[in-house]
Amino acid sequence: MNSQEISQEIELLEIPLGIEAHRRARQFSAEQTTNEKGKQVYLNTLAVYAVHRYLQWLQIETDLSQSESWHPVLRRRLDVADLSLPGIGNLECRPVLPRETSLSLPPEVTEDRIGYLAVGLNESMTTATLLGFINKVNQETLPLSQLGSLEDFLEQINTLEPVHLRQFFEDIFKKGWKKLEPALSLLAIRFQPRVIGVKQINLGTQLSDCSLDLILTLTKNPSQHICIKVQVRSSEGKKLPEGLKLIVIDESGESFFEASTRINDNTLQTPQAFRGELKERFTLKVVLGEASFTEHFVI
Amino acid sequence: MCLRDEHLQQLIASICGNPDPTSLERRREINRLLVILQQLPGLLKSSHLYYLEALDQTWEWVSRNICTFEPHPHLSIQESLKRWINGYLSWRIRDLYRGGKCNPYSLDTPLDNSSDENPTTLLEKLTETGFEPPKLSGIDGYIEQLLRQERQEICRQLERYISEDPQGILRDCKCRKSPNCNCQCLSQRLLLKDPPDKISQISQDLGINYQTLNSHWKKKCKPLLQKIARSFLGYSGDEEL
Repeated sequence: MNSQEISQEIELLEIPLGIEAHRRARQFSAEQTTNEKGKQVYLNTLAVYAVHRYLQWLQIETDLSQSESWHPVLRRRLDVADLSLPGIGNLECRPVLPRETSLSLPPEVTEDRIGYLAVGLNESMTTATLLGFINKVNQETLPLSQLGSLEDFLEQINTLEPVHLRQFFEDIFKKGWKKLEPALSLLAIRFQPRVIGVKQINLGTQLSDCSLDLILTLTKNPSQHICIKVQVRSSEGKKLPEGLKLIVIDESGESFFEASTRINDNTLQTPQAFRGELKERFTLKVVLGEASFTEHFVI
Repeated sequence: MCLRDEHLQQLIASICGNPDPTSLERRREINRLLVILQQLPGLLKSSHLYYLEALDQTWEWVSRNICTFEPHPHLSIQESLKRWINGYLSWRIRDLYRGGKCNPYSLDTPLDNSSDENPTTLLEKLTETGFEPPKLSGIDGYIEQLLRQERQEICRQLERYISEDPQGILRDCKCRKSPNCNCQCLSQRLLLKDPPDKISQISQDLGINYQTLNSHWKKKCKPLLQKIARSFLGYSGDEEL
């Protein structure tokens, strides 16, 4: 199936390529030494700019200036068409011409990308359409027919988008998090502001339901950092299944806490609160057999 | 009320009932709404770059302001939406004309605000702006004319600067866990070498954890390269040279 046939089959959103898109494509293209490279940069720039605009429509934050495709040396040396999404990662937006049937993925874009969008360009280069998405690739060309839908892309963004923990203190809870009102107790006389957020997750299979509460207790310190305590409990007040794992992963991708339940455990938790500095990131993973839940956080 | 009107009304109500503008559900629904709105009969149409720019701004405005839309009491929802969108679109086209370097006579005639009565008059004005984008079929010739010696020279100097690192800025930015790995050696291997190495290859060669290396490249070296490029070229990468 080529890009034109895909566009005819499903109703796709059309992203207009106006004066700004072409101005940047011209500007970046003029820096190249060969016609072939100039053309590659022109098309890459249009594809990246189109996705940037589409994400603005959906209120998903982008940063062109942090993208490799917007860097004069990186785009000259490498065939890159990435768009940086702050706090999420770099998304590769590959241009696809009208009669092309596959996505070309040079080796330089197969590392460090959160996914690949196929961006169809029309003959007059006035419109871009998003033809499909895939989050991992391990070959240099991929038939368009093997790509997932735009729906998969929105889900991927949603999974990778971090939860802003500071917002918990302003009573802003997103992505399924809710405030847990603590019973009036000793907490009330604490000096440091404290908030508890809970999110219900399900690691069940078709055979057995396993509804869990992921609980974060945050304490704000005067020196700007936040102390975080993580707990996992059964939503129905039952015992936790044996072998349930809780993993905390730091910014560089290394796990700094890992624990699992033994038989008859009620709670799985970090032994003490850990510190998070302003803007620092971490990831929580809860794993039960094949099933897992991942959430990213930023302080 | 026709089926499509009913569907649009439900979709808009659902979007506006969602308190979180960043939720997956809302993004899905906005995407669906825009697909439907782009098919509305009677929307202003042109293939001119100014029109396309204005249309892009219009879709952003629609998705952010859909909850302020109020249907006209005597018109269908589709018809009201069409007028609402065309109204904004024609204002944006006008703004671009005023701001851009365009033919002076296009400003002589006041543009019709309601724009529904005779949209073609407005679009007819979108003629020459002196900037024609290429078509795919003619892109090779277009690019050939575009390549600029002076721009290439600046980029070459920037590459030389990165490779030689005369002030040691890149060399001094060392990986915390492995001081023999710095931004200069990474730039040379990941950028300037032909073909470039992959991070996984360098990680094997130097015996450094992939994540550590990748994070050093991403968080330290790339911003540093951005900074050098910016000061070198005197532009932010997002502006005209």
